[in-house]
Amino acid sequence: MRKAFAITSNVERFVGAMENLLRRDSGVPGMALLYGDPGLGKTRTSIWWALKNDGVFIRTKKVMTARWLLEEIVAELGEAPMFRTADLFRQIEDKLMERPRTIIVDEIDYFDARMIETLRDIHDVSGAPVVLIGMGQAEKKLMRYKHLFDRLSEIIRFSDLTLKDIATIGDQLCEVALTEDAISFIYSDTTRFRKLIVWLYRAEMFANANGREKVTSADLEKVKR
Amino acid sequence: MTMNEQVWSFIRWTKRFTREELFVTTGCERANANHLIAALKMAGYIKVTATERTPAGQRRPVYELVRDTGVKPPRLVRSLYDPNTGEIFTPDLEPQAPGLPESRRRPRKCGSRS
Repeated sequence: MRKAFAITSNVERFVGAMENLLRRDSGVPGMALLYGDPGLGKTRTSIWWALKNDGVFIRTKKVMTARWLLEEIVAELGEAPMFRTADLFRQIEDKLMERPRTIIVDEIDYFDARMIETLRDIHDVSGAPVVLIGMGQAEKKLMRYKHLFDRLSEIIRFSDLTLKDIATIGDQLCEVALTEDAISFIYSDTTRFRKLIVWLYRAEMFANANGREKVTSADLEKVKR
Repeated sequence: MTMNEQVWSFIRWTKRFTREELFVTTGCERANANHLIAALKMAGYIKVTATERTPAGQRRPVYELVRDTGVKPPRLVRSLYDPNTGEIFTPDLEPQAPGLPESRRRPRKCGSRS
């Protein structure tokens, strides 16, 4: 199996949205929402993107307050958090003015109105893109905050793997070729990444053991457990 | 971000990770990451908290960050080895700040052949 970050249609849409966000015209709001069911790679994709694009990733906690969130952002921007909330906010503003970075905030499902408004304020004063990551109901939840929802210029929903994704991931990661019927066979069994990797591994094992260059659905049927 | 910063940020942001996830997400050189993981483990920054099964059925360690000191990545620096005496001198693995308990300090000279 090749060791690489698989570029699925979810990842492509996220990267496209982030490019739009970074290249937006002045006056266009720079906030985005990424949401979807657990296990679809939202966090892993956003961390991968943040590492390659000098982003800042904030993982929130259930008991987090707005002040705690500000402290986390200041620390993540490489500063020692000051005591007063007003100073924390100013620290963030100064750091982002000096070096504009995208702030990605994970698990916003825990957030209350005050925290949501705090992120909106950070975006408004610094102009730094802010990406919110939430679960399946995040979009509906944010609709309640009209000021914020209007600023979401990109909304990306992560969904299960498609047939095309499975073919693409097979090409990118699997060291043997999969026939079209093999791809359909895998698709009928799973649309989740973790299980797909197991299928690709089985295909490679079968090909190695039987000296094959291509694996078909009939071959996969034999190694199905 | 330098590769070292990427690796350290990945570890801090994910908290729990496997070597595979680290290589795949950061794209770092396997040998460099292995050295860094070994050093971080030795210095008490990360520890193995579980194992997970690979698709091949082997067990691989899951690491967890237990000492997050901040955004600046700890760096691997060269040590000095004296083949005459077998002594190895390495930089301190923990800060020697005033007031740090003696039990948390590590000796500067960390190995001898005798």
